[in-house]
Amino acid sequence: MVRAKKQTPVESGNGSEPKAPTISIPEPVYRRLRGYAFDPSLSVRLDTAVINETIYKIPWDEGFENEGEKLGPGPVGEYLEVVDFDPASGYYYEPVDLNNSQLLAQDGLPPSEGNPQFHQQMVYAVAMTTIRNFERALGRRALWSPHKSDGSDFEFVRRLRVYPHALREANAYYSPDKKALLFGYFPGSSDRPDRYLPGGIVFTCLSHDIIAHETTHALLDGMHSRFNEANHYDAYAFHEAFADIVALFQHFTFPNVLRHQIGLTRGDLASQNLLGELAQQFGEAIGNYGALRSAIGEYDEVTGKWRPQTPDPEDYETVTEPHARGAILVAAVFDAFLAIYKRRVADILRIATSGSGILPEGELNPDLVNRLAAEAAKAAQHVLNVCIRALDYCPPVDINFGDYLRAIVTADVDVVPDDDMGYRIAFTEAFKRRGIYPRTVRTLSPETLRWPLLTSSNQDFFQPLADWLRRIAHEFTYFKSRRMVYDQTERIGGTLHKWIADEGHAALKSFSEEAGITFEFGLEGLRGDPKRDAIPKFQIHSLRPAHRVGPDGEAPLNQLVLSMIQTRRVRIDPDDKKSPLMNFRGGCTLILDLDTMQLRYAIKKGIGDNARLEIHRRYHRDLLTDGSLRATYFKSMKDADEPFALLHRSFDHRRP
Amino acid sequence: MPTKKPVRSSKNSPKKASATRKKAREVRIRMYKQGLGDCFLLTFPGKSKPFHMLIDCGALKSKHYGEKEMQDVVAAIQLATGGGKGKAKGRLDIVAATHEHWDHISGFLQAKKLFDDIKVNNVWVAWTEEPENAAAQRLKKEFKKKKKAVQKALALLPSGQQSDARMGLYRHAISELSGFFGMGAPKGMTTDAAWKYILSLGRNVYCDPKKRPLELSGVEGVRVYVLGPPEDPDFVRKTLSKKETYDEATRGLTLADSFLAAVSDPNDPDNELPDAKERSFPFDGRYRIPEADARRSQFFLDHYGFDEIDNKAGKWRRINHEWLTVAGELALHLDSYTNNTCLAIAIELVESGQVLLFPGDAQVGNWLSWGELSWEVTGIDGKMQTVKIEDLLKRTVFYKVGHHGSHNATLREKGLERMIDPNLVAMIPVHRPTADDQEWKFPYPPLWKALKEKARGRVLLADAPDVTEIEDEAKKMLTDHEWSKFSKATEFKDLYVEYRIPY
Repeated sequence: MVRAKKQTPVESGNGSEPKAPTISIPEPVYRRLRGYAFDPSLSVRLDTAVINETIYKIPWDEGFENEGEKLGPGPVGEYLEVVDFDPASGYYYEPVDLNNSQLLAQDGLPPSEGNPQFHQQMVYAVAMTTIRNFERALGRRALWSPHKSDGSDFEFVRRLRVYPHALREANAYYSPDKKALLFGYFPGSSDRPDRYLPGGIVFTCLSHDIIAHETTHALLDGMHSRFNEANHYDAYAFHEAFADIVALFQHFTFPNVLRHQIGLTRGDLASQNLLGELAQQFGEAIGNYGALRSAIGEYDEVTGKWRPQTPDPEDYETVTEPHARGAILVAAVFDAFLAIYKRRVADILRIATSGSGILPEGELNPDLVNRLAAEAAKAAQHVLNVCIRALDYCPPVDINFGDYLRAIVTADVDVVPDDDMGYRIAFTEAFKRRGIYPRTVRTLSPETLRWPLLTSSNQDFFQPLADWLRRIAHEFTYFKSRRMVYDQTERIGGTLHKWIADEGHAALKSFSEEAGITFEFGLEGLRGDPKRDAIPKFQIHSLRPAHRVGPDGEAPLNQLVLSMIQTRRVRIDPDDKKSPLMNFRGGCTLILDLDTMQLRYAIKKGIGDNARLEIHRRYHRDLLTDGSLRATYFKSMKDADEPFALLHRSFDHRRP
Repeated sequence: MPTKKPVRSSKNSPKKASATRKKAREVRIRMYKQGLGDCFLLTFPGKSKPFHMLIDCGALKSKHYGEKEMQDVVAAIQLATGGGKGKAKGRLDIVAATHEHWDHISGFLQAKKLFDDIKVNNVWVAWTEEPENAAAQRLKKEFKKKKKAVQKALALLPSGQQSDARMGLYRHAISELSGFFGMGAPKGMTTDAAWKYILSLGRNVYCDPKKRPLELSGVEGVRVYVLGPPEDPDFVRKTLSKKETYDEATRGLTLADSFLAAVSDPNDPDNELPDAKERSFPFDGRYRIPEADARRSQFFLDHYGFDEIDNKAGKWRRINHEWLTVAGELALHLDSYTNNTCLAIAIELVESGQVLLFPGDAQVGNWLSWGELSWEVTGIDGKMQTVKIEDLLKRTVFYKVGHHGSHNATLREKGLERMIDPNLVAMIPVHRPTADDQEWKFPYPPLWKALKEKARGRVLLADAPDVTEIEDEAKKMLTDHEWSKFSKATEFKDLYVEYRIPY
């Protein structure tokens, strides 16, 4: 996303002083903030202390809603609102003012566990870095999922609330209810006296991976609010895995960390173990937060050496616990990354070893180290972009890992038509090895995995809709603020909904086959009154413009992503009249090319899909009979209200 | 009474033994219907008089029954043990209390007056109760601390009437769960009080799986194997998270300490760790802004808000109580912990080899530890032999289903699957209306199904009025002879379900 650079006259800090017109100084591009690259535990070890401090570069101008706004104490910016209240202790902590000139001159506060203001700076820096990565990959500004209070409409949530010291437990989570990140702190475990001072306090808000992970949950919820509904075994697993993937690859984009590690290594540099081991270490720092990465590899009990895990294609069929299942996806994406990295550095290694593949004795050439680290960081950034961008190509409900692979491939074809680095093959291969592939595809190749392009005959179905969208397309060209994006897309979505309900549906009769939703009554549990309403209820779930730029300056893509959802209330057990009810949703994501005005893809989950309905029913039945202690005692409390709280609980003995 | 001598049940020649069997020796098992809880009376024929053993006596609080039902049941026990009607005292040779949960011991308080009129010889409890055992005492201390933390947190959580409905639900769930250990009960009616009373009833016998099987004094041909709780604390800890080991207590605050410190009042005279509150604060005093000052700070007024000042704006985003929800985890934790430290026994009818299994509410860790045990006993042929849990399970003809038939109190592969005796009968002490009120799946459907397969329909539930519920299914799986044998040995009364096993 490109934003015009502003030239602002130098302001005097205080409005009462006379403003002298002065020479204009360009606004800084970045705000530099110091922070931990991992978490504080690594700063107390000599071998890692040097790499544990890094500088986070945050956009100086966050694109504020109102003219003249700037980052306030908290920090409170355009996207985030850090509020430091510690309810377990009953104390509040002074908000940090990052615009304080003393702090500006020294890249923020120095890393320190004992100063809450540094904690605020750290969560702000990492969360903003994550937001930035999303915006870059998606080509639009990030929005949080809207808030709905009882009895009123959805409303725009400008800032995600961040509480760095909200809990006194080894836990951190995103609360979809409060649109807030809650971080916990807890007494250090004496399992690892080398890392923690026993009895010392460990802060989850000081770990890069945890902050990035939780921020990702919030960002994903902002795009796909239905993804946190557990209807099948991939639902929570996907949320977890995706958040972990973002945290992991974001970490790999810091070249200084990689440089250090590569420099330490001797011998077989092409060996992928180095990066795999590193990936696992990233997550290990605090408890087993990076547990998902255990699927990447393990330490040999005898030799103590790290070795990659052999993928088992059976796992995807049999493993159902969200973390273990998510681990399969993380491992698959990591495999793809390694394949890409290997290909990228093949020539460098040939040059460095004169084609022999064997490095000379002694210290590695620093230039070589730099080049390898740069390639790894670049590959990581690409993989991160690919993974995030794929979100736009996912169905709005019921994502499974196979869909996600198709989304990755399709998104990549759109942005990088010429796959000379073999990224798509790398992903396809890696997923195949883990047993993840769409069950509806006959052969596995990037071509077959890509969502089908709508042919001209399909195009006819959409014609009326496309015509309508064409008329309003110009409205998407430029929105100034995030609030405007929200308000306008809501308004247009409302108009579109009205048009379909009033007249459009007549022209869209056969549309339902392609779009997964139906405009006729008949299916069990459809919402709406057949006597009063012309068509069953449906929802315009989201409408998002996207401006995508490829890595090599390919022609940018201007797209509109539209998703619609329909819901049925059906019995969990169709043969039991008294059976509890469940929501069964269908819908589609439509991708419209704003330049050619063609609908490119319709990615659907049929509302009348009985096979899918059966999978949901089985999942809910399993849940009802899931005799876990929690299910036994906390059923009535609607765990789903804080779905992510429970996934990370430290007391949870069911965790692997 | 435990004896030091090896059990000599082989005195009689096999011929003589079968002659004795013809005298129709039988053990009578009564499962009482006091509600959702355990209360079993076992009666063995003794040399001079019948031998009575009571295993647990309690019921979870419920709207379907109350103290009266409990008193009726205990009165019946009094009667069955030779007492009642003011003249003679009842007599229990053994009271075995499996663990400190309300649904296993409440009766001792609710019908205390009646128990006062029953003479108790021995009280069997798990080795973890032994005052001289340091490991046992450490376990107990840690447990108490957590229990206190849950209690305190419960008091701090807003109730349902207040605005936060979700927190109200959570509070409700925790209190229901805590019902197992009688929290929030009226003064004096606590598990602690019940437990103390039980220990005062008779001579305490600390049952230890590492020791020789116990004998019942005056009863021939019966041996009691103690299966659990495990001696190895690792098995007890199986259900604990890695971060929660008690060794930490010596070095720093544990998670439970830190949480307890936050919920407790430092001026409380009972506070065991008076400095813990200060030590548990994450930051130095100079960084802390007390609430009163925060209320005057424009930043916190604008970005957080205070209920008393502004009950609307941004209220939905406040996090005043979120941190307390960890109490739910602690409560779950305590629940499984107690179930794992519970007394589990197998009663062997030596000559016939039949085994009656009473695992209490033992959970997975407890069950798994049984595999490590072995006992040297004298067989009926007079030779020493080694008994392992596999042998006992293989010969199990009666199984008291653990934890009211919940999912994780019956081990599958190394438990139920090994109970292969064709005469297996199971009893589930359950009260389904009470379980349904809480939406608890008791008995857990897949387990119930497996039990019915294993016992071929002969699964007796405490809340059933008669055999109607199981009759059709059982008849399909049993021969006519088996069914008639089973129904003759079974009796449904208002206050109990009875099953008799000849040996």
